[in-house]
Amino acid sequence: MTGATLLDQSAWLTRGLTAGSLVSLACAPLGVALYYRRESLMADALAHTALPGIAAGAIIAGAVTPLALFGGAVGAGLVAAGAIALLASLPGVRRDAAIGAVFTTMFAAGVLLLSTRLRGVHLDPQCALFGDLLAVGDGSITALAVAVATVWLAVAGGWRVLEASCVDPGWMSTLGVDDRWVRAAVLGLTSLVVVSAFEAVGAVLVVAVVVVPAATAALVARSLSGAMAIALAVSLVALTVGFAMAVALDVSPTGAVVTALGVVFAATLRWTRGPTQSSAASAAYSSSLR
Amino acid sequence: MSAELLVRFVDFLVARHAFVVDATLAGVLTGALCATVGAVLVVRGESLVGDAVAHATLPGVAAAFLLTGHKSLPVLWLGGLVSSALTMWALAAIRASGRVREDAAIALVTSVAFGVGVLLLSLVQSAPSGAQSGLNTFLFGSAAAVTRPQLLQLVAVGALALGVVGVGWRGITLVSFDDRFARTLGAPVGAFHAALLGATSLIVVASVQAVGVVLVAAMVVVPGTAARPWVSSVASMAALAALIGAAAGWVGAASSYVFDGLPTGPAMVLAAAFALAFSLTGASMRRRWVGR
Repeated sequence: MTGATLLDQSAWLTRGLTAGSLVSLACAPLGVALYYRRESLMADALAHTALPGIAAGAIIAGAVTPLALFGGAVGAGLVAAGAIALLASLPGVRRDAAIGAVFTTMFAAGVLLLSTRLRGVHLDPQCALFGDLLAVGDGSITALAVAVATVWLAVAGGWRVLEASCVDPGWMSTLGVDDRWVRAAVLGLTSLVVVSAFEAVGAVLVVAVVVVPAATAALVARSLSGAMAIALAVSLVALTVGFAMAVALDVSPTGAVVTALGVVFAATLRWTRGPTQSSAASAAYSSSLR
Repeated sequence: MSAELLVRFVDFLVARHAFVVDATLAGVLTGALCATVGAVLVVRGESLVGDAVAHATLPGVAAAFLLTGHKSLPVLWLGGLVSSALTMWALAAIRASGRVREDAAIALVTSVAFGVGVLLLSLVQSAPSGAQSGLNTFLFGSAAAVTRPQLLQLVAVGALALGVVGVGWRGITLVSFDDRFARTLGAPVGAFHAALLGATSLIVVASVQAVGVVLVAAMVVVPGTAARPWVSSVASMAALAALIGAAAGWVGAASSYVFDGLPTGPAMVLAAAFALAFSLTGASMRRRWVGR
């Protein structure tokens, strides 16, 4: 290997690690909030609906511009959240069925648009699904940085309310904030993060980066802030290990990172005897009352 | 324009091309089979198990291809069955630990299984054989590419799965409604759960070929949810869901024949979603006017 290609390689490695770290920074706190609010599945739903959103954005704007794709994806997220809420409010329709029906249908619409209206357009559905950590563009890095800043500002600014909503709906009601606003904020941020992470990790695997570190952290954490810190650590460890594996074995970095996340979760589940979910919640509650 | 579409539709109805019959039968069969097990899963509040099983076929399919170098359907199906069974076992173990929230557990196993699949798939793609192109149809599905032997395999697998569900029907509905009561009766609860999951895996793995990984999940959830307001027993719910699923499969195959370039899988799903919207609107109107 010549010096030039080595240099190239280290350049895209740095870029990939930067993008991956930004994805972790954005997803860890959000994933924990979703986990304790029992809305982890919404990450799954919003990640899948980004596909039709991107397709619709490209068609409406008439061009594949970042803003059109971004707007389309966030719009589709709103439509999905609304449709799920509507379906789940009907008698005889459970929430999981509503989620499953809405996001798969919207995904079907996205595949349909991609294979008919957008056939000539350069939008690779496979790239959209899997992403490519090693081919992240500048625009994507900027979008991720914005998403990270927004998430952390929102979490810091609304900490008290978020903590109450995660821990105890009863406590929540004393704060004078309607839980629907918290839900809207959390889902809006999830939509933002999912769309920003799209190019880097793809629609399907961003779900893993949101859900798995949070579920791992919840096995051992005793407070909400602790859970967020552990989730971030888990995410960064898996990122590093996954990247090393990808470079050493020449495999998909995204696949390797998610596999590493799965291993960390399984090991934590197997070899810790942390608090069960209810006592984790009460521990978070008591620590925040100090 | 519309005259041309009409001619194509008539062509479709009289089955002018032999492959159309096979593609249509594949669509109708997958629609009906997924909807039947889907109805039971929807009743159990496990609508997303179909999604998990479908995603979990990917690592098995990729591993089977890596190990054998064959792209033949039985080998890939076997791989998919093994990996979806392992994933369901992992889900059961996570649930049994009681340390992870139910909704997060299913999102977790689904996405991790898929990630492992992506990892293995990238090994396949860097493998020198270069015969991997057919694996992509596993992601998005292609009913039009279903051949006669594949159709017969689908029929056999479907019959086996329905046989399993049929034999265990009383037990499966019992544990679905009241797990604890079934335990006190001394029923083999674990065996019934396993039978349902096994049948689900068989059907989902066999259907992935026609409609793809993500859309199989839709065909599991949507018809059952659409049937729910109009029935009063699980058996009639499964029957109505199967009818809706079959009709969606037929509409999907027809519209993909009539409109050039329209893929069958997504068309099936949208037809089923249309049935769902129709059903739920109808149920709301009935509640308003009839008051029940």
